Formats: sequence, C-alpha cells, structure tokens
Amino acid sequence: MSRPLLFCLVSLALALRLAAEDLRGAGTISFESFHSRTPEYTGDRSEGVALNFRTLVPRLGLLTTNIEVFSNRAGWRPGLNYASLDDVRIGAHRWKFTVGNAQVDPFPVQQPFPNVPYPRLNINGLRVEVSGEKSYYSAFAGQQYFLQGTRISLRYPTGQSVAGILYRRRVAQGIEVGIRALHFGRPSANTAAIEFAWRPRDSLRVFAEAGAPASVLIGATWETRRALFRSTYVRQNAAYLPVVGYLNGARRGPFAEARLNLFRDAQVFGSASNTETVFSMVKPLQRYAATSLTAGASGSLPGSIALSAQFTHVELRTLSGSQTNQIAAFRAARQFRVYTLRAELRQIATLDTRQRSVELEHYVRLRRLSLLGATRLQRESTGVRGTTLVYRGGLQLTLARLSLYASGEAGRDLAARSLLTTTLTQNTAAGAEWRIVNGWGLAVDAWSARLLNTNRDLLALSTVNPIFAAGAFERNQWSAYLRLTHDFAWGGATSVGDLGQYSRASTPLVGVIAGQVHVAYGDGSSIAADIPVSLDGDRIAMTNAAGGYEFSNVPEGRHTLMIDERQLPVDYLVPTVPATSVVVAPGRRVREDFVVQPSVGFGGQVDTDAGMPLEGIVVRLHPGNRRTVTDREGRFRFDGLREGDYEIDVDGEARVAVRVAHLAEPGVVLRVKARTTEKPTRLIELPAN
Amino acid sequence: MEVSSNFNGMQRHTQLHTYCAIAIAILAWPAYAQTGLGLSPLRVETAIEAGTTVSNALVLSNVADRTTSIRAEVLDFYVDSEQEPQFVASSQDAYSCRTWLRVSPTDVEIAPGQRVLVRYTFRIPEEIAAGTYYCAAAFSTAPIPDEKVSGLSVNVRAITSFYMTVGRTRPEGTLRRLYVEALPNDSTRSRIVCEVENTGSYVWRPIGGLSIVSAEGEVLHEIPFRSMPVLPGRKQRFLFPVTEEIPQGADLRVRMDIGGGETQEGHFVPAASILPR
Repeated sequence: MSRPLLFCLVSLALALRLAAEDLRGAGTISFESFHSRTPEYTGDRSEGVALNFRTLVPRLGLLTTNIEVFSNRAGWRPGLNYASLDDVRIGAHRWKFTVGNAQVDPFPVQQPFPNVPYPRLNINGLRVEVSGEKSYYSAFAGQQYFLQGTRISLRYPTGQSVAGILYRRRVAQGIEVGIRALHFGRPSANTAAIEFAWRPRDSLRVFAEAGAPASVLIGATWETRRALFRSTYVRQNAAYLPVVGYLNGARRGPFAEARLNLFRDAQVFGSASNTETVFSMVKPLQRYAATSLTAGASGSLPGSIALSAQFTHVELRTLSGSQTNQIAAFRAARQFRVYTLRAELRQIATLDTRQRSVELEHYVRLRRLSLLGATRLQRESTGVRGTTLVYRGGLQLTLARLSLYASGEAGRDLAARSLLTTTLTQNTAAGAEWRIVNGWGLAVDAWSARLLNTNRDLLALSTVNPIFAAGAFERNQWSAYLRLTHDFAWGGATSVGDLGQYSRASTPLVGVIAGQVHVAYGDGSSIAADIPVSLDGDRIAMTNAAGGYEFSNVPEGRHTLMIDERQLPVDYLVPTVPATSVVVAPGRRVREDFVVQPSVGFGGQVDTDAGMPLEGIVVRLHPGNRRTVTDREGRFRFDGLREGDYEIDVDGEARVAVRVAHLAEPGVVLRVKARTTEKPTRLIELPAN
Repeated sequence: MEVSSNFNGMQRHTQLHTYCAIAIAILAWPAYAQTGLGLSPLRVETAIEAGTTVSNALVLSNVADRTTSIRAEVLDFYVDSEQEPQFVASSQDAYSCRTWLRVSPTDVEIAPGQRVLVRYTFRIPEEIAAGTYYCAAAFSTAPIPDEKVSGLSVNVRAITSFYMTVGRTRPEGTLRRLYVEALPNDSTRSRIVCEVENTGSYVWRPIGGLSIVSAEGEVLHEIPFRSMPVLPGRKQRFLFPVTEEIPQGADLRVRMDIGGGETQEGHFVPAASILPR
C-alpha cells in the first residue's frame, strides 16, 4: 500500500473517530477526473479522490487534513496532502504545526511590490509557526516539489531539499524587521537576508531587503484615495533564491509607477522600468535588457460612456539584437440598461510586424442569462498574413441550483511574435455547475485550445525546466473535467470555512484594556467615577472611585472603546468623539484614557416688576442658539451645557425681572447674564443650589 | 382648560391651550399617544444598592408630522381609588425617589420622525431603608417658541415610572375588604370592590382575581386583577365591573397571590342579587 493512501486511510479513521466524539467539524470529499489529449503531457488522464476536513479539538486547536490521491498513466500520484494543527494556544503565543505539503512565502515581512516576482517554496516536510504579539517565527524543512497539471495538480519532487527559518518582529510602532535563512540541498546553497519595513502612516510603506549572496531590494509605496506612487530598485544574484523550477536569472533595475484619480472616476496612470536580466543557462536570452514604458487614462462621460486608452512601449535588447514592441489600445463602452456595447482599437508593432485590429463587443446581461458576442477585424500591414476576422461569443445561464456557461472562438487570429503576446486561439469551453441537494455538487467542463503561434524566445526557456514545457506551450489540446463533491459537517458546524473563524474566536489569545476617565473643568481636571466604558458595544465597565476601569480577557485584535452614552450619568455631556479603536496584543495591557466634560445648566424665572410670573415668554440662550418658553410659574431652564459664559435674551418689550440660579457643580465655570430684547433687565443673582 | 391672556403686549397672539393631561403610561399602556409622542420604556424596575449611582436612558420619539417641543419633569405618583395613576409635583411619601432622579435633557425639540435619548441618573443616598422607592419622569409637549399658534393646540404627556428596590424583596400585604358599591356617576349600577393593603415596604402586583360562584357551586364568572402596583404602606382598591346579573346567594370569592409563600382568599355573599344596571 502506498504511503499517500495509507495517510489517507489514517486521516479518515481519525476523522471518523473525532466525529464519534461529537466534536465540531466539517469536511468535503470529492471525486475528480481529468482527461486531456496532448501527447507530450504525461497527465493526460488523472482521476482520484480528495478529502478535506476540519475538526475543532477542545483545548487543543483546529485540526485540518487534506488528502488527495490520483492515478494517471504513471500510477498513483499524490495531490495536496497535509495535516495541520492550528490555533494551538501556548502562553501568549499561537502555534501551528503542519506535516506534509506546505507552501512557504520566503518573505517574513510582507513586501508590498507586486512588480517584483519571487518563488514560493513548495515543500513536503514539517513546518512549525509561532505567532506572538510582536513576533513571528517559522521553521521548516522538507523536500521541494513542483506542480504539474491544469485542473488536477500533481506533485512531483524536484530532488532539492530545503530547510529554513523566518523571523519577524515589530520593533516599534510601524516598524518591522525580518530575517530569512535558507539552506538548499542539491545543488547546495545557503542564502540569508534581512528585511526592514517602515509604515509611518497608513498610506506610506517603505521596504528594504539586503541579503547574501549579494542582493538588494528597496522601494516605497504611497497610496491614498487620490493617488498611488510605487517605486522599487532590485539587484539580485542568480543564486538569490535558487529554487529548482524557478527561472533563476540575475536581475537588476528600477521600476516606478504612478496613478492619479483626478475626479469622479477619471484616472491617469503610467509606469516605467529598466531591467537587465542574465540567464546563465539560456542561450538565446543569456543576457537581455528591457526598457518598458506604460501610460494611460480612463474615465467616463455623461450617458454611461466609459473611455480608456493605454500605450505600452517595450524595448528588448538581447545578444542577438534588439526589438521594440508597442501596443496602443483605445477602448470605449456604453451601457443601455441591460445591453453594453464595447469597442476597442488596438495596434501592435514589433520588429517585423504591425498589426491593427478593431473589435466590437455586444454584451447583454439579464437576470439569469448573460450573452456576449464580439467580432474583431485584424490586419497585418507587414508580413504575409493579410486581413482576418475573429469571432467569439459566450453565454452564462443560471437556473436555481444549476449554472451553465459556454464560450467559443472562431477565425484566424494573428499573433505577434513578441514577448507581449503569446496568443491562444480557438479556445472553446463549455461547462456546468450543479448544486445538488444535501451538500452534493457536480461540476463538469470541457474545453479545447489551439496555440497557433508561440514566441520563439519563450520557447527557448522551455528547455530550462519542465514546468515551462508542460504548462505554457501545449498545442491543440482538448480536455474534460468532472468533479463530484459532497460537503458534510458534524457537531453543529456549518462549513469548513466557518470553522477557522470559530476556532480563532473560541481560543483567543487575550490581553487587558484598562485606563482612567477624567472630567475636565475649566482650570483643571479630576477623576470621574461611575463612568460607563463600553467595549465593542457588548461589555461595559464602570469606573471606580479612582476613575479607573479595566477589561480583562479581551481577545487579541482591534476593538472599539467608547463612553456608553446610555449609562453615562447626566452630570456629564455625551462625548462628541464617539469611539476609539485599540489593538489588543496577547498577554499585554493596553491603556486608553478618556476625558468627559461636565454638564452644567441653570434655570430661572421671569416675573413682572410687580412679581407676577410670566408664562409663555421665549428665553434664548447664547451661544448655543437654544430657546425655551417659560412655564405657568414663569420658570425656564437650560441644561446639558458646556461650562462657560452664557447670555440669555428674554423676548418682549416690557420691563421684566429675570432671576437665575446655577445648577452647576462646585468648581464649574458658568456665568450668566440676562437681558430683555428691548429694555434693560434687572438681574437678581441667586445663590447656587 | 385655560386661556392665556396677553400681558402688556408681550405676545400679541391669542392662544387657546387645551391641556389634555393624558398620562399615557404607567402600566402596560400603549407606547404612542395619538398625537405622536413615543416613550420607551414605560416602566423601569431596578434593584439598587444604597450609596450607588444608576444611569440609563429612555428613548423619546416624535412620530407626529411636525416638530415638537418636549419638557421633562420629575414627579411623584400614586394610584387613586378609581385605579387611575395620579402624578404630583411633590409628595411627602417616604418611598419617593423623586429627589434622587435627574434627567437630561429637560427641554428638547424633536423633529418629525426623530428619536432622542433622554438620560437619567439616580443617586441613591447612603442611608436608606430597604424597600421599593418610586417616582416618575413625565415628558410633556409644549408650544414651540416663536411659533405662531392660533386655535386649539393639544398637549400630551408621556410618563415613565421608576421602581427602585433596595434590599431583598419580601412582599407583605393582605386582603382588607370585599364589597359592592354603586358606580359614582350612576347609582343604578354597581361594581365589586376588593381592597388590599401593602403592609410592607416593597411594591407588589397581585395575581389572581375574582370568581363569582353560584349557590350550587358553579363558577359563573372570573375576572382577573388588573396589573397594577400596590405601593408600600398604601391601601389599594381593585374594581371589578358587573356585566351580568349576579344571582342571590352567589358567592364572591377573591384569591390573591402577592409573591409570598401563600395565597390569600376571601369571600363575600351579597344579600341580594346584583343587576348590571
């Protein structure tokens, strides 16, 4: 019995055992079959079973197992096989253990540059990860493998082993440092790097990496709602990350990108790069340099008209010469309720060809049905291919639990011999997805593709490793795929995805939020007792006699703190700043203080000179633009005021007497002047009550 | 009804105020008055400790189609002999919590469809005896300042009653009397009155009611107690209307459970039949 199959059976037994314990869990089992007719592709017939399940193990963590076993012409082949135990809480750290297949991102500090490609490490071995408040550790070791197959990915060992350590630590607010140390076997190599990331504000990120063998990556991004600027410089040795199967050339050069959102949805963008790459093993491209410029704009006009234009210029210099590639494209679209008309003009210019095309696309989107049809007229002004027409169409139909889709192309597509365009043509596909009842699902599709023209330079790369040969340059291939799945759950779980969130929530690393509340007076402050502080709207802590409050066992992460308006005593004003966001780290104490303002007020009485109370007299307060009317006894009252100086106006033309009395607490500054609108008022100050 | 007159020309318009003192709420009465003033909750019952502060909020809403000015006041209350709650500005009731209560805001204008939070705070004295203390916050509509009003303006009042209990609840009380009396405005009609007395310091609401049993032992009619508080140290009348003739010899039985360890029962046999009119 093969090891993968044994692994599968052991895991299945474990799942059944855990299910018998009535733990919370969920899983998916599926049967997959893939057939293709491509003679040079070994995975032309693969079929097998995949099982994924997750189980919450009390007081331990979340157990996840994925078993995939397929067969093809070469016999049994493993798919993605691993078992992991996540969310294991030990002290103030969260541990994760993985056995089997794992993909490792070699950057311990997240690098924010999508223009800088790098390989992930696909290992079959052991990995341990530890996450704490400020730090992250990862240690791993195993054999590397590469993936092969379009719909069913089979794992093939590369024969290269790798072991490494990744470490990341937040050393200050917005500053992280990271260390990577890797050892590769066969061919043996050691690499190491130190990384630095600085985020002084949400919009700005600076990243730098320096390593051995000599390499450097440095850059910055500045992204706001209105603009994006990104700039990098990279210089990496061919042995920077010597992963077998990855095109490991040496490269160097700068890159810059900018995008400006002018107004509404109007946008201009552009980028520029100048890179030099050396492939020591690839003769035609042993050394090449590329200078690339891209510029464009997009926006909309009234009447639901969308416009965009883009120009790309790439100059490629190799040992055999240089060639310039240019693509200019202009697109326009207008929507008429459910119908959208799109048009595109495009010109591709390379060293020896110039191709122009115009395409019209019609798209109709109804409630359950979408239809697309397009015609492209192409003309090559140099060369011998002349004028061609290409047609393409597609539909998607949704009927309750059944979804159908199909697309097809016809005609002779002109493909430019350029690194920019390696065109698939006559790509025809049809498929269906059916969500059967009780967690069963069925997906089938079939497609055919014919690659008429391939780039001679890229073809040269296929001699380097089998990945390029298998994936990118298949010709005249048709395939069919079927996947039958069944989702199941036990112990009250809903789905595999929900279990991850539930696990993290049920075994949180916790910290403490504490602080003090002060009441601010005009000339100082004092502690405030009996102030309700709300955590995430569902926990309330009242401040004690020292003005302190504390929330213990607060799960790590971002939380919202605020003074609870409903339970705030009337002696204080409702805070104008509604909420504060705090981040709780495991085992740590976060301090967050609040200041409340005292609520003051005063009342009074409006009488005639003769002492008769006046009802219905409008009394106005300044500042504050508030008003009230005296009651039957001539009384009025203002409260909920900030401390300060106020004046009141009493409407009317008669001579009246206004008596006021402060309702403020001792120490609160509140001075009141009173006057009538027309005539002077006799003000009689009363002692504070 | 009262008519406010001009004073020295200070307000030139004539205003007819009809003050409909509609006490919307003290028990489980509707939350919205017809004029569109809403208040929630209508009753607050809280266990408290001496020397503490208790704060929370009421929600006041204007469901009328015009801006309303609301004025708040803190009142005492009691239930009169006709089972109607009566609100007074001040009483000498030993169980009044009026002086502990503050609300904010006390004067607010609410636009149509809007709601405002009215916060309240009780500051409980250090030295108080165990018992249920009660008071009310009343919210009355008032004329909008500067608004020219002519004709009839209807003002309404919505009330939240507070019952603040200190210490362990131990209801004490007894049935006092069961009798028949004539309606105050129609001497040809009668009603049955059950008088109970709260001899303790905690508010309670009796559960049970009146059963009319024929001489043959058949239960002719059953009327439950109205859900109404019996305030500490007070006697309270529960009124049962007579809607059908009660034959001579019928037994009027009242059973009352106030939440203690017993059910009290009393009965009374009228000397003659009682006619509904």
